[in-house]
Amino acid sequence: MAKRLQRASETVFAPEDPEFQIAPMVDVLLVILLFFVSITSAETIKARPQSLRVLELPVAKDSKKKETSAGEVVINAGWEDGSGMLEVAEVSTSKFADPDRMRQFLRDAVKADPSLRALIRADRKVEYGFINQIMLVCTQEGISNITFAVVDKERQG
Amino acid sequence: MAGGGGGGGEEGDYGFQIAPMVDIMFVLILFFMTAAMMKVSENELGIKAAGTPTASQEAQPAEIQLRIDADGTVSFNDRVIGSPIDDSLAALRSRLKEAIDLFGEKQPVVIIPQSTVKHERVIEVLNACAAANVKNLTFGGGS
Repeated sequence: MAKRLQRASETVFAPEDPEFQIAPMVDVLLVILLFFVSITSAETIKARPQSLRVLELPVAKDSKKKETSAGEVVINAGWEDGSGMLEVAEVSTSKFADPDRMRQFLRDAVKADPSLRALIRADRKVEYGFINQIMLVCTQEGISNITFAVVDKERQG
Repeated sequence: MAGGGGGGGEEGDYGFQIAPMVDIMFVLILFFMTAAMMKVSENELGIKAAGTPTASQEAQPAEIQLRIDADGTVSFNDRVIGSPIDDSLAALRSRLKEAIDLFGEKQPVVIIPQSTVKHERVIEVLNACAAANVKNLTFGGGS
């Protein structure tokens, strides 16, 4: 009797062959894939310079992540042949060297939004004298909140 | 990677091939993981431009002047604190941190770069200020 009971319990509780479940694995893989696709493509589309060469932004590891692009004017500043070049998409589609050319645009923009801020996307080679001129124009037109675009790490390749 | 299997049945009924799909998914995941790791994101460092009127008239601690020479040398109230090859500016960070711990966020810091200083160097100093949690930050006139 005892032997028969033992055999029966072995039959009932015998460990089954663990089968490799492919369906949950595919589910998990799909979720991981979706995650990586979303974080890779969620990069904000910036106002890239049209006529300036690609800007090499300076690196700042302690910079803050940008919260919003609302209420800001983007000023691209490059350095070509020893002098500063500017481009503000709303002002002109071509580059220009004189920061005074964006004065009227900034004045109108500040009128429309008094809390406007300026985002200066300057190449790392631009001299401070030129940046200073840009900041001066911004301040004179009523923009006191100025931010500089930086990258969190050196671009590879 | 994933093993083969499947194939057509005896009546030519081809079933859904899960193994190649898993292979492709692995490759896609690898691709996007690598792309995510190499992604450089654009951040920002902010200042309040000089000349902005302040609301309070309370006495403020004496301002800290950070001068940047044309060669990249950084001075803290006229005492050299960072050589041109010092990218991390660790000494500057700790001095600023001490000042902020002592006087709080009211402590004014003025960056005074020479006009020929490269933007990259100015950003390194701004970054040191951000690391030390300097809030009352502005630029002085370039010389």
